[in-house]
Amino acid sequence: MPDQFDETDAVLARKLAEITPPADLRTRLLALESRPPVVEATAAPWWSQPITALAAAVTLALVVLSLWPHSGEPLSAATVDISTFLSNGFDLPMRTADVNRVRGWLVQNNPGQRIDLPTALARNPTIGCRELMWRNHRGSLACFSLGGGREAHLAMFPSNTFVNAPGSAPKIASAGQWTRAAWTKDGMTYLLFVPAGMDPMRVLARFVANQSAGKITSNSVRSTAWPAANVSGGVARIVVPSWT
Amino acid sequence: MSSARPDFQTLVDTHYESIYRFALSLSRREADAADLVQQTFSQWARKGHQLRDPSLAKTWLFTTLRREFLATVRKAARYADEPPGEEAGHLEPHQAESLDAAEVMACLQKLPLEYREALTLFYLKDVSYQEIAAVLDVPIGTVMSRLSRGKARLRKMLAEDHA
Repeated sequence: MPDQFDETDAVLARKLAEITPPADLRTRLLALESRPPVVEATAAPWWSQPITALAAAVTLALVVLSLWPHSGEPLSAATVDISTFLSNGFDLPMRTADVNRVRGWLVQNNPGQRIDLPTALARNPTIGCRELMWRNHRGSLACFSLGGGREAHLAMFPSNTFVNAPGSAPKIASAGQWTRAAWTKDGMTYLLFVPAGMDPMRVLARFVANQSAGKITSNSVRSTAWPAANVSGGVARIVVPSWT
Repeated sequence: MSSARPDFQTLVDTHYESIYRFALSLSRREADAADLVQQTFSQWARKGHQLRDPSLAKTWLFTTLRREFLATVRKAARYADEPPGEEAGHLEPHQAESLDAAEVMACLQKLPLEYREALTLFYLKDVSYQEIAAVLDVPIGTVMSRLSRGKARLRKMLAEDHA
């Protein structure tokens, strides 16, 4: 019997048991249980009516079946998971304040894709970027400093990652410590996370007045200026951007 | 036999250190290992209630972590392993005693994936052969074979380190 647990094995097992996880890992794990739900700002309260809910469920099932095997993941799940990931702290292998280095990395990490960094967002100092694996889907994450210790994080995935990828008009959702804006452009879906309480549309449009829309900034990464968000009564009303 | 479903904190406290060691041996990087552990428990928080037999929670966690890791490997293609070969190694207990934990883990991480995942689970001690087979999705005979060869190669490396 070659695999009995002999004396040497016992010593090696004891040695390996001395390896301890990072000090904050337990805290980060326990925080996963109390993740707040994602509330899509544009969602209507259809669930309050059982018949409507049933019809919606049947419709959803049919849609999923009709899309199989090309169906993707729900956008809300990505919002929950990525917001939790951001809140819990993460490793950023490439740290740089140079947006052009971030652009170059994004080109390399997304071969064949056209990445479109919003102009206003790209005017903020970058912190860095990394690969983002989510449910076996490969994406990218670019991080920006908004000043005052606040950060914005832009996650990017091919739009077929999601079964309900948003359109070109940003869709806003609240996710715990973050507010998320999500939109799709040229086959890529972007999820921008800003600290809760901030209006992501203002981050996207902050410098719009000084920008020219659609300026090509690299071979395949370009920047797009955003229209200003109309804010009324504290609720952002999204104006569909004109992509040029 | 059915058992009560563990609450989330109990599950974390019971398994996260073992899960982390397994993740570290697979990913070879502390930050990646911590990410893998987080992804695993995040999935449990979302889907764990779907597990019919709570006694399988530990196997579910190890299996899920391994699946997450393999998905990353396939996508990133950055963990090319050398092909397995036959190695003979001998390490006396007193030699093993003189090594520190980091040296043991470093040598474990140099093994081809199929050996290091089996050996790491083996050295966690509270994972049975049947559970290792379930996590790795291979017959138990394959587990025994990988353990035998993996142990030989690991001991050879450690002995060389010791010398």
